[in-house]
Amino acid sequence: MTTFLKLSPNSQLEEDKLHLVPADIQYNGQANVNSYFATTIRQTEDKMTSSLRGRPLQGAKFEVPSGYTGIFLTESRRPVVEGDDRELTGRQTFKGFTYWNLDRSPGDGDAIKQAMNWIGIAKILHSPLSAEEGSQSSLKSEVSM
Amino acid sequence: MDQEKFESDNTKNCILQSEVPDMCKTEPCWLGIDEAGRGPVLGPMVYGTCYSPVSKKEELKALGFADSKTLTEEQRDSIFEQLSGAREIIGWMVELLSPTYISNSMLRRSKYNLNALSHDCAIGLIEKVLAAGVQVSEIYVDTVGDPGKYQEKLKGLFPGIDITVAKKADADYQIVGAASICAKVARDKAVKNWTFIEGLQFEGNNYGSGYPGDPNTKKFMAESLDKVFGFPQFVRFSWSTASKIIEKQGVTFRWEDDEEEENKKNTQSLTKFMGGKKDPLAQRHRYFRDKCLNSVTEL
Repeated sequence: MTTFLKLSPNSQLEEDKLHLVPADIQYNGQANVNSYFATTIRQTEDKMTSSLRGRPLQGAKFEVPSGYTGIFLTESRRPVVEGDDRELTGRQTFKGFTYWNLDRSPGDGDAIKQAMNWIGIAKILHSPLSAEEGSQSSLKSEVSM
Repeated sequence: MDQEKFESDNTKNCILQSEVPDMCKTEPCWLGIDEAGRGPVLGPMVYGTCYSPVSKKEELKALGFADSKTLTEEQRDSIFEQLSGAREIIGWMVELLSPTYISNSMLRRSKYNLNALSHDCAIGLIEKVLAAGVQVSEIYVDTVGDPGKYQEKLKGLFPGIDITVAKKADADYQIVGAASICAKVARDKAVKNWTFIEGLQFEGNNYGSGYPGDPNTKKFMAESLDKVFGFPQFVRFSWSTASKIIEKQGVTFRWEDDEEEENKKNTQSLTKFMGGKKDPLAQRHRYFRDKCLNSVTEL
């Protein structure tokens, strides 16, 4: 199976309208986000809250790290059988979004924040090595976790 | 009762109150507490309190407060008018608990049940009245739950005040009857004038009683259902009436604490007990697991 990525970004999604919610919603399609969800968002100086199906959420803004672009991928045709090739299309980009925790204040321990730790490591791992820096020991010293 | 403050954001709780009569700051007062709108799946739950000098008990009788439930809406409104007119001898305070607040409290990770929520609200009102300088010497509280425990709890919190918690206290004590009128008037008005932040409109604002058997309530619930988000904020999501409809007709949501709930209900599965299947991801360096990183070469 091969997955093809077709990237032809032609528009940017407004980051204020993108939300990552702490639920697996078993539905793909249009939803009344503006009237039923965005209206529940309340922002004070130090806190952002909302309500989703009666459950209390706490949120924070997430910025895509510099040098990276967020891409919204869609799949127009679902694979019929396992092993079929798949094609994902990315037409829209984003610079950030709001992520929401279920009844927990946002912090560095959040999965999305944790995952971004990889960005720094990837940068080091994938940058070309000069001859003197080639030894493992110097690599280790740069990756401080 | 001016509810502009609540209407400005009806997802938030709101306290409305009269001025504190001067006499209540110098003379010992009795204070009554009652609630309205505890059962319905719709709208805010309201806690009301009234207080008045003990020396004016007889004068209060003339105003004819009775259990708000035995009166019509018009009668309650007119009694509330009289009560507002007797501003030298009686003061009131109500707290509207928004349906959003009720849902969010009951559907937190660590559930906050309706009884605890009610008690905390009543305690909060007493504290606020005391903080306003009212010389409270007697407290009468209407309750639906066990009066004994509740009374002990209040006595512990407010030593030196004579506390009576009783079922149907609104019928037995004028001051509780007055509190019940304030609560019910506030609740009725809030429901009647409800503005949907979702921008919905319902003809005649007729939502029925908010009890599941009521045909108007059923009709409203059916019409306002959104298969993704469930209901507008007017609805208490934590009521089984609401959650059953969402479960049946809405799209499925899986929350990260669903599993915890399952584990609480069931005993551990046999496979788990036997060591379970080997998860290939478990073989990866823990750095990746800790940082929630998965490989996506396959979708």
